Amino acid sequence: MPAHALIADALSIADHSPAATPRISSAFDDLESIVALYEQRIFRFLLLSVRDRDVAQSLTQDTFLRAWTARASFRGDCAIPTWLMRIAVNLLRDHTRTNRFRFWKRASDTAVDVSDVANALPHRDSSTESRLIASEQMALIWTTVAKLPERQHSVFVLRFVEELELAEIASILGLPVSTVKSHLYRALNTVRKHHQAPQNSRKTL
Amino acid sequence: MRFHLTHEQLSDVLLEDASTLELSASANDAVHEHLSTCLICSGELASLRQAFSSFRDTSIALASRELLRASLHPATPDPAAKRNFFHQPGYWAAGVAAALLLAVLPLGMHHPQPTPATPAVTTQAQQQPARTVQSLESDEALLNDINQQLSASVPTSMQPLEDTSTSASNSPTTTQRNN
Repeated sequence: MPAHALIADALSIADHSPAATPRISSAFDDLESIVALYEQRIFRFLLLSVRDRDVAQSLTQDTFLRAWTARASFRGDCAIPTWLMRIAVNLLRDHTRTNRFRFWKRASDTAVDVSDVANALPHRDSSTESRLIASEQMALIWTTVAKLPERQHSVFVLRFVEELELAEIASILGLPVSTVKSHLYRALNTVRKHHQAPQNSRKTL
Repeated sequence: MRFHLTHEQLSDVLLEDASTLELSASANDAVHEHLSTCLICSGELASLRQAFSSFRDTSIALASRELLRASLHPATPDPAAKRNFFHQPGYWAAGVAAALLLAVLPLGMHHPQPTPATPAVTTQAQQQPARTVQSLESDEALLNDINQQLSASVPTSMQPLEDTSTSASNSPTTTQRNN
C-alpha cells in the first residue's frame, strides 16, 4: 500500500476518534500534499540504505505515520523535509540494529541488486562500449557505497544523492558539522580507493 | 618532484558546493591553480564528479521505478508484519526455550543413575533392592522352567503324543476295546 493511502486511512481514523476533537493546527494539516512532496525522497534514502523495496516502503510509511502522530511536537525549528528525514534516519537505525537476520534481506524477492542498478542507469551515450564502462563503474560504486559503515553511508547518500548542505545533514543526524565532514572524508576515501587503481607514485602537495 | 592534492583537498573541492567549508581564500586559490595545471588531479576530480553524478541519477531512477513497482504490486506478504513477528521477543524466548528443551531432554534420558551420594538418592536406592529381589525371583523361576523343559526327554510340544503312546502301550486292551 502506498504511503499516501496509508496516511489517508490514518487520517480518517484520527478524525473519527473522540480523542481527536481538539484538532492541532500545524504544518501537517495538509498531510497528503506533504506525502506527495516528500515520499519519493524519503523512500529513495531508505531504499539506498536498506536495499530492499518492501522494507524501504514499509519504513517510508512508518516515517509519515510517526510524523503524523508526533506532529504536535513539530515546532518549525527546521524544514519539514529535514524533520521527516530525521524520523526516517531514526527508524532506519532501529531497523538495522534489531534486524539480526540479514539473510532474510539477501533472500528477499524485493532486494535490489547490482543488475537492477545497471538497468536503471540512464544512458546518455549511444556507444555500447561507453555504456558498458558506465555500468561497470556504477556497479563498483554501488557495491562500495553499500559496504560503507552506517553513518558514512547516510552522510554520503544525503550529500551526493540528496545534495543536502553539510549543516542540514548535521541537523538530520544530530551530529556536529565537523563530524559530518570527517565521515564524508572517510567515505570519499573508501570510494576513491575502489574507484581508481592506487597510484603509488603520487606525492602530496 | 611533482606534488598532488591531498585527499582532504580533493574532498574539499568535491564538497565545494556545500556551505561551511573552511578553506581559506589563499588555500582555495592554490588548490584551483594546481587543478588547472595538473592533469592527474583534475582528471581524477572529473572522474569522481562524473561517477557521483551517475550514482545520483541512477539512484533517482531506481527509486522512482521501485516506488512505482511497490504501488503497483503492494500485496506481497507484509514485510512490516514479517519484521514485527521476528522482532517479538516473546517468539524468540519461546523458540530458544523449545530449542534448549530439545537439546537437554535426550541428555537427561540417557544419564546414568545418580550415585547414592545425597540422602534423596539414598532413599531411592533403598527402595530399589525390593524390586530387584522380586525380579530376580521371577527370573530364576523362569530359568528353572526353561531348564526343566530342556532337560526333559520329550519336548513340551511332543508331550501329547508321548501321553498317547504311553497310554497305548500301557493299556492295549482299552484301545482295542475302543476300536
